[in-house]
Amino acid sequence: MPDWIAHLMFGTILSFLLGIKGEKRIIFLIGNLMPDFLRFPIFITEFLNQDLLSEFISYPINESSHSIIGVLALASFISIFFEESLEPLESGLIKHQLNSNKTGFKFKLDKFQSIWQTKIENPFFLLFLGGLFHLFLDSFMWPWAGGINWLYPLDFAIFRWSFKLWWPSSFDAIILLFPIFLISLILKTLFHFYKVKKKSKF
Amino acid sequence: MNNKKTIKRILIFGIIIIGSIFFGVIWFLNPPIPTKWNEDPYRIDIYDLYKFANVVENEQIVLYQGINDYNYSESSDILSILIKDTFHNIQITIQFNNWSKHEKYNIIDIGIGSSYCIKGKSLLISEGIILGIDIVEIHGYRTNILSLAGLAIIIPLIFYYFKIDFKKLKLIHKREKKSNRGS
Repeated sequence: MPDWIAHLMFGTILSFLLGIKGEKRIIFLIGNLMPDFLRFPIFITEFLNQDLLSEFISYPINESSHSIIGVLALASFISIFFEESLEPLESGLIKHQLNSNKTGFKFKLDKFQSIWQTKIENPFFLLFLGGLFHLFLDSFMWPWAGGINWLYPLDFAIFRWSFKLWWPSSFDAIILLFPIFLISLILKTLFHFYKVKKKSKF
Repeated sequence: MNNKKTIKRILIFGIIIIGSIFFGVIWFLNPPIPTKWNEDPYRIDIYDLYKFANVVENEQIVLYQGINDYNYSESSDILSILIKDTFHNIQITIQFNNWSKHEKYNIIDIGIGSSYCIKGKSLLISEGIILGIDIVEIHGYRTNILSLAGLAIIIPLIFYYFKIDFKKLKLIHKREKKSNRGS
């Protein structure tokens, strides 16, 4: 796995791009780390030197958590602890209704935006999306994990994907992501100041 | 959130945990034949190497293991690495020919107990010997340390989300003061 710093950086960049703001960003970031939460049995069994438990329990759990079905189950469980906020959902729907008289591409874009706004209010969706991006970043590793088994328990080579970009224990992930993270952070700050300036004019 | 939904979600989570253990056990007892994808080396462990010797013979393989012992012969310039699987009680020897000409690693870099990813060609499988082509050390602890740093970021964020005040957290339970001493 790439380390959590890399996952958090990747999650933050994506939250900027996808317009996931405020407290929703925290849920999304938790989703980005979520599949690794079930790695702790590996540390325990390795620390206790229990090969049997490691082979039969820790590794299968870790393998399944790094798959679509595992991410679904984890997102479903963790979303219990997060409440769905309805206020922006209502505003999104209102916005959609207001713009419904528009036609063409702008109308479609508006519709998509309002649907997206309602979707990201759902903690389950945010966690699931974050989990999928975790798997995506993990699939850049090679050959330690040998790719991500997206369709666990189907373990055919065709279902194990890897972009083979970096070694998992190296700093490659951080080094590659840091410039993009920095640029996105600067752009986000600039946009924020631009918005504040625009508001103050009116 | 209603209780039914919560129970349903906990059940889904429980099923995936138990299901993965179930599949993991089946996997372990009867592992699937390793398959090659897009001309990549076979990604296998020592046990697979023994079990599917006829499948992977003379093929490129990738092993990710911690090494148990090594020996370097200066006269023949061969580095031999011994990897054991204590669970199955099997071992293999990986030989690197012309080790002094190896670009990435020196003999000093090899450490017992460290984990390495070894790319090799599986030969003479019946004797448990494979010919090493490439070797790269894996620093699992480095990933774990950086992940702990990530934990230091996510925990305050979770505290912020749930509006938990750090200052109000007290690990020591204090006795309540008695207000009416006279009574």
